[in-house]
This record gives sequence, structure tokens and C-alpha cells, in this order.
Amino acid sequence: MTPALTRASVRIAATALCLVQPASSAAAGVPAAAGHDRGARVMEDTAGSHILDASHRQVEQRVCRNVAELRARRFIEIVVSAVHNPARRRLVFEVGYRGRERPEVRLGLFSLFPPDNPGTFLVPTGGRLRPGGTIVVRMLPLDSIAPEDSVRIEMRRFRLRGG
Amino acid sequence: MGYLQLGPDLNRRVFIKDLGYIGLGVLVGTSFGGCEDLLRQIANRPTRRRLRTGSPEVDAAIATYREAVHRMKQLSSADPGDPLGWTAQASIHGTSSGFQYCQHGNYGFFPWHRAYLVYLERICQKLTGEKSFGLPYWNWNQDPAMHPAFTADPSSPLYHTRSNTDLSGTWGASAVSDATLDPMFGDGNFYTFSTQIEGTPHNTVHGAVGGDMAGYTSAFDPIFFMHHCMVDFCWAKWNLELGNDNTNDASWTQTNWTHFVDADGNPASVTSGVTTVMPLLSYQYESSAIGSSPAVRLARTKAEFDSLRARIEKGANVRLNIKRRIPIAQAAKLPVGRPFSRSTRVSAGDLNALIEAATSREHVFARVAYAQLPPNNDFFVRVFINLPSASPETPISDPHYAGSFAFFGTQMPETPNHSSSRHFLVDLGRTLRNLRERQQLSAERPLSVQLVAVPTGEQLVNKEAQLQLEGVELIVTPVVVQAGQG
Repeated sequence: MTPALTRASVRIAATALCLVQPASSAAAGVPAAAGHDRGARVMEDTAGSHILDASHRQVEQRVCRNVAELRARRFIEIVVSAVHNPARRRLVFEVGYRGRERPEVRLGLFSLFPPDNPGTFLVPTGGRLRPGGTIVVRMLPLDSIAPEDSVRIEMRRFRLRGG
Repeated sequence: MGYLQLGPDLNRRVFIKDLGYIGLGVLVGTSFGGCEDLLRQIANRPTRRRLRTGSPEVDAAIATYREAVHRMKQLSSADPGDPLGWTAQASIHGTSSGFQYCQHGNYGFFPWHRAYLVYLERICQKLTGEKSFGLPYWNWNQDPAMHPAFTADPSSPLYHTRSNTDLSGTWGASAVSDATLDPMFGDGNFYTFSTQIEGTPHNTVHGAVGGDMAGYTSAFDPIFFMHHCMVDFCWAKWNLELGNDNTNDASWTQTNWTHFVDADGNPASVTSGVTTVMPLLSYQYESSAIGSSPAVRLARTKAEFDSLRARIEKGANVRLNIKRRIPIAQAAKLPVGRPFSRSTRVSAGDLNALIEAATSREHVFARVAYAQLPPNNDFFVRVFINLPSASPETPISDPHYAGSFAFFGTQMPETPNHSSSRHFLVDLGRTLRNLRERQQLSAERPLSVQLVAVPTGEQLVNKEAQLQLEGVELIVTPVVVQAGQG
């Protein structure tokens, strides 16, 4: 470490990394932590995007803002930017929040209508988000989907917004 | 009935603050005699009842709806193009090729579907002769199971192939639960409320029911209109019963749709702004609970009605945080007999990021400011992009069509209490994206904008009339809402 890399600058760099990257386990392809569904592996394809498909139905993103900022953010904004769903399987997305050392709570859900139509969705935080927790989005097909089925949902990095 | 006061110079219009004069036919939907007949019609406007068993009034509404759907399907069998037929009416929303005119994923979602319901309701009234008929609504929060009138008899016109007729035990139940809906009804911001209602209970019920309801042909299922009446009731409860305000932004209130038909099969147009007062003047809801929000009886006295109507008309302040202005014309005259066409100094390439992303937070509008209302309110204006040959005969199905705006009322002396908005905004984003997808948009060539005056009747009263424009420009802006009392 060079003299210029002070503790403060390392902390800033680590925070910046947290802000721009989804949960680090995604990038490394590390299986989800014990207690989570190993089949719901976090995946990402494009930098800054989440990808869900028939084999990987759950994505996560860490919450990095401080408490004061989180209080002002009433919603999680989820932008479904691209949908590949040629068979138009009906899809519901459950949004949850998992705090540090706490079980996941459901915040809400939304659906695509029709099932191949992208869009922007809002789920209220209910004031539950805290720094270091994780936002979880899970794809729940209403129609059965086999792992080899062609379904691919691209979501932008989740944003927190006030309204 | 005495609380509905209309002035002596009514001339078949009612002045609604900030919206201007509204043709009463848009609100009431039937021809009328004098003021007293009108007041009677509004006071006795149709009631939309909550679907349930054991109510003679609801049973009567279901019977009327069944008869209306039967007749509409017969019309379509005889002529698929009959505008009053089931096929034509459902196709206004969408067909197997995709959505047609319906508004989804934007803030036209609530008002467009409200207008859609009103015009269908009037067609049902006309075909059955039941002038007091109101579309019943499916309160899926209180009653997750579909009414048996839609499920029990496969030979019924209301029967349709569906995946689920009871939301209980499906993900649909979670989307319409008290726990999910209560936070939404506690949100006082029109934009975020609309987004949540659309994305969660609206979309999920469509998917949970399945069959046609899950896709672009959803309006072919008769339950579609009961589902959307409930969505509309959500909006009405939030706005009227719970005291929240819609936006009063002109880009929303003056969005005009011209593809509906009235009960006689004639083209009809309506703006978002007008739809806000429809639950007060055109129909009413038999209230019921949604989550923790109980049933409420509205406006029992004149004072309550006047207060409610004033609040609805006013809306909430919204401001545009304009990032970029591209002037097209400073002052110009729009002859109503000849189209106006001007090139801009911006090309599609300059707006690339905004066009590429349908979910971009920024919008590009054509803003048209005019000096004064036209002397005759017998035309509206269509906006096109890159179509110098646009004329009154150019159909709105043309991919260059971006939107339209209309004028309400006649010139009035300026007073401190009368300030009508003097500009219109037409969102160009979807048209630009459509043209790009069709490879009809050059990244380098400057965009051009056309304004075409279209007569509302058979012909213009004065073909030499001119609309004095104060300025035409493109603006790039996100829409910023200031919630609360305006």
C-alpha cells in the first residue's frame, strides 16, 4: 500500500465498489450462503444488470446507503429492461429484504403484463432497509418452466427512490 | 339535486376550472333537454356495484351486462368491423398482434382505462336500453373468487377459458392482499401510486387469471372490464375518498385520445383531465372496502360536493425540470386549413439515449404555446414527426403520429380567477422509438414536426381561421411531482 492510500481512501474505494457492484458473490460465482437455495444462484451478465433465467431465478443486491439516506427512500425501483419469453410464460417477481443476521421479509411483488413486456416497477420499502442488508428479487413462474426453457429477464441495477 | 348549479349561459358546456369548458356530451353521454334534465341525469348517474351474490341490484347489473355482451358478440359475428361489436371494442385495447391504443407503463394508464370503461358502459346502455346500467366491479381484495356468473355456465356470454377463477392460493392473492394494498393507498403521490397499482395488483391479476387475460387479447375476456372497474375504483377511492390529488401537469391533463366510439358508433375523444371528474358526473361507485380503507359514502351535501369537485379539478402541482430546449418556431400562424411543418435543429442521433430506452427517465415533448383560444372550437390539432405530407386525412395509425390536443371553451376576458393553460405538450418518445424500429428514422437528418388542424365535425366553421402560435419547441425533461395540495 502506497503512502497515498490512507485508511479513508480505502474505505471510500470499498464503498464505491459496493455502490457499483451487485453482491460480490455474484461476480465470483460463489454459491449463495448457507441457508439459501443453492439453485437460486446469483448471476449477472452485463455490468450493472441482473439476469434471471430458467436456471437462475434469484438475484440479490446489497444496500449500501446510510440510515439517513434510506429513510428518505420509500421505494425500490426495478427496471425490467429486456424480456425474452417467447412462450409468454406468466411471471411474478417477489421482492424481499434480508437484513444482516436476520431472516428475509417480503416487501412486495409485481408481474409483467403481458409476460413479454418490460417495464418499471416500484415496491415500497416500508422503512425496513438498513445498511448492509440485501435486496432479493425472485422470479416465480405461474406456468411451469423447465431449466432448458428459453426465458431471460434483464433488470437494471435496483435503485432506491423517494417518490 | 340542488347542489349542481350551472350558469344561464351554459350553451351545453360546463366550465371546469383549469380544464376549460367541457362538452357535456363527453361527461353525460346522452343528448339532453334543458339544465333540469342534465341535473337529473348527473344526480341519477349509473352506479357501479361491487360483484357479489345475494343482491338483486347486482344480479340485475350482471343480467344487463350479459345481454350487452351477447348483443355485442352478435354484432361482431355479423360484421367484425362493427365499431359497437365485441371484437372492435376489445381490439381497441389489443389483439393477438399486440397492444393497440391502451396505455400501459405510463401515467396515461389510469385515465385511458377509465375512458375505455365509460364508453363501453354507454354502448351497453344503448344496446340493452338500460340507461341506468353501471358496469359492476370485481373487488378482488374482498372477494378473490370470481363471481359465478362468469364461471358456472359455459354457454353464457360471460364465460371464457381461464387458468384460475379464484385468486386464493395463487400469487394473485398476495398481490391483492391487505398487506400489499395498504401501503399503496397510504402513498399520496399520483405517479408512484399509479405505478404500484399497475405493476402489482393489476398486472398480477391479469396473469393469475390467465388465458386471454394474461396477454394482449385480455379485453376479449368479459371479466377484463370488471377487473378494470376495480382498478378504476382503486383510483377513485384514493382520489375522492382518501383525499389524494391527481397531477395537474398539462402534459397529463391535456393528453387527448381520439380512438374511442360513442354509443352511436361515432368517433369520440376525451382528455385525461376530463376523466378526473367522471366519477362525479358520469357514474358513481357503490363504495366498498379495500384493505384497511373502509367503504365511504361521498358528498352528501352541496358543500361537500362542491368542495370535492373543486379539489379534483385542481389537482396537485407538478413541475417540469427542463434540461434542454430546442426552438422550432417563435411566433407563427397555424392556418386551420393548411398543415404547419417545420424542421428542428436536432436529429434522432442527438436524442439517442432517450429513444433507445423505453424506460428512460427523460421525456422529449413537443411544446406548443398559443396566444389565445381559437374563435371556434371546431377543430383539434394532431402532431406528427417527419411527415411533411401530413394532412387531416392522415390516419392516427400512421407511425409518424405522436398525439393530439384540443381546445375547450371560447375566448374569455382575463380575470384573476380564470387562467387557462396556454400550451400543450405531446410526448414524442414512443413515436420516435416506433420509427426507429421501422428503420424510418435517420440518425443524422434533422427531425421535423407537423401540426395539422382536424375538424371535429364534418367541416370547419371558418376555413380561413388561424391559430396564433406563440412558440413551438422541443423540450427534454424528466417530470417532477410536488405532491400534496396544489
